[in-house]
Amino acid sequence: MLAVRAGVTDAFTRLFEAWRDPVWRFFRRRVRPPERAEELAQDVFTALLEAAPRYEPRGAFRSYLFGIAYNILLADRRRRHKDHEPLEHDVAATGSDPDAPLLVQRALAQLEPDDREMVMLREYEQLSYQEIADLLGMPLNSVRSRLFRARGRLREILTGGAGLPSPSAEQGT
Amino acid sequence: MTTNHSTQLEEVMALLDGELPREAAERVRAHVASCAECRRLELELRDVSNRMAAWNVPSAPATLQPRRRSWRIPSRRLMAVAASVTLVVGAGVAWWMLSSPARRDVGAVDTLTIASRAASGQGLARSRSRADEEAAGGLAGGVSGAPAPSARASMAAEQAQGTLLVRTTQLRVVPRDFEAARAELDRIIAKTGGFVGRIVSHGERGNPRVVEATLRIPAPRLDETLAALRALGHVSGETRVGEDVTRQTADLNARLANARTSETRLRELLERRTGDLADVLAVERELARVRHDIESMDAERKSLDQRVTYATVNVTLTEERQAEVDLGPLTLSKRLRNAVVEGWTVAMGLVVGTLLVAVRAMPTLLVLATVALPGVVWFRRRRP
Repeated sequence: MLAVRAGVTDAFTRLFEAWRDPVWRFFRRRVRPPERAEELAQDVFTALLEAAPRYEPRGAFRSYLFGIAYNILLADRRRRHKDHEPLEHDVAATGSDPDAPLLVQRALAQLEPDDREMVMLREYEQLSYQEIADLLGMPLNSVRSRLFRARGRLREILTGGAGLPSPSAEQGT
Repeated sequence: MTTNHSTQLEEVMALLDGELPREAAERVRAHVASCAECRRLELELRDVSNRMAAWNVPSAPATLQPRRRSWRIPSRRLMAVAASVTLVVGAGVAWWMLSSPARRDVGAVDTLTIASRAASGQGLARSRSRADEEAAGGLAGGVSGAPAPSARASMAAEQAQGTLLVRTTQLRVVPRDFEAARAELDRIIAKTGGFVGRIVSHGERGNPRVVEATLRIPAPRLDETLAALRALGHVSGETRVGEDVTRQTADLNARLANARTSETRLRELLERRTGDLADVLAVERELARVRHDIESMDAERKSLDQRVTYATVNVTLTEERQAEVDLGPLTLSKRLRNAVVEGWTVAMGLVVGTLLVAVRAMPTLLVLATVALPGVVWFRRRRP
């Protein structure tokens, strides 16, 4: 991004190639149809290009990039008067279980929107707890505790059994 | 299920996520290695992550390409400023094109008080040139306007050849100074040896004064008299008619001569008194009729002679004056209406004045913004 700001030749092209898929996947998992995800992804890179002259590195570029993407996502949802959307159901699966993606989507759909976003940002976008806290506007401790509970809930849904041990159950007899 | 260890469960999750500081990570790692519960938790957390990883999204389509604009999108603030400038400039231009001094809306006519003033020199100068244009043209046959020099020369020639003309002129003048023009009129008449055939003055209150005079001016001095009358002010109209009465005069003279001859013969017959009484009475009646004809024709000839000798000038002096409208006391509704009109005029003046100030200030503000912009950009970049 600094190279883009400095006007290095093909700097933006290299940046785009490096982050094209992550940004696409970010929107693909959160909006539908695919055309809208593509449009929003393009908006992210357009915003990057326009913000390049005044870019100042304050943290990981990943955090900066997904911060832009998240804001664009929220703006798009406001325009469409939607707080959240049903997740996509026709994506490819990895592994031998073809139903795994669908199960994951259904499990995520049962979480609270903020919890779902938290888990997805951690699992898919690999954002740190602090980055998630900054993005969602939450305290760091809240992010850690809610993330733990969300993962426990997910396990419960996915396994159909008990979730993760509750932190309040520690310090037993 | 209860646990009995000093490590919080969330720290196990943080360890897996790489969120713990080095010292804390070593502590938790050591604990997990010796704690079955925490090992199980670690496996369960990894299982959740693995399950979530099963939801894979393919790579971006080839149509996803960077959308490079050929022009920079201006900031919202700049667009707002540009929109404001456009609006102000557009309103100012529209106002300038639509406004003109004559379109001042005075609303109720009752508010107007037309000041009384004498005739202005500007109007007179303009009209005088127009009168000069109108003065070109012939004379005979009732053509309006003063005769051209060539026509006047031909008139003199005609008179020399025995042509008898009766000249009548209609002249309307708006004097610069009505009082002075009235006095000058008398001097002109006296100077040219003419006389006033008829003069009427009237001027009702609120109306301009008017003098209508029929002047008899010796024919040879008609032109100079007309020139002097024109000089009194603005000529608003002039009509000159020249009637050729030469044949008429000749016929009249001939008939008069015959009548006189007849009269002479009848008198001779009456003096001889030959014939009976009936004949004498018949001669006396015929003589009386002839005498009557002679006197009538003689009067007609004298009148004609006078008309030829003295040209007739019908001059009208009209005071140029605008009346002062006196409408009396205004009713409450009219006064309210006047107040609304005046208030609206003031409000429009305020709006127009504000727009003018904005239009005048905008170029300066744009220049200042252009000069200050690099400094602002530099300051924002340097801001921690």
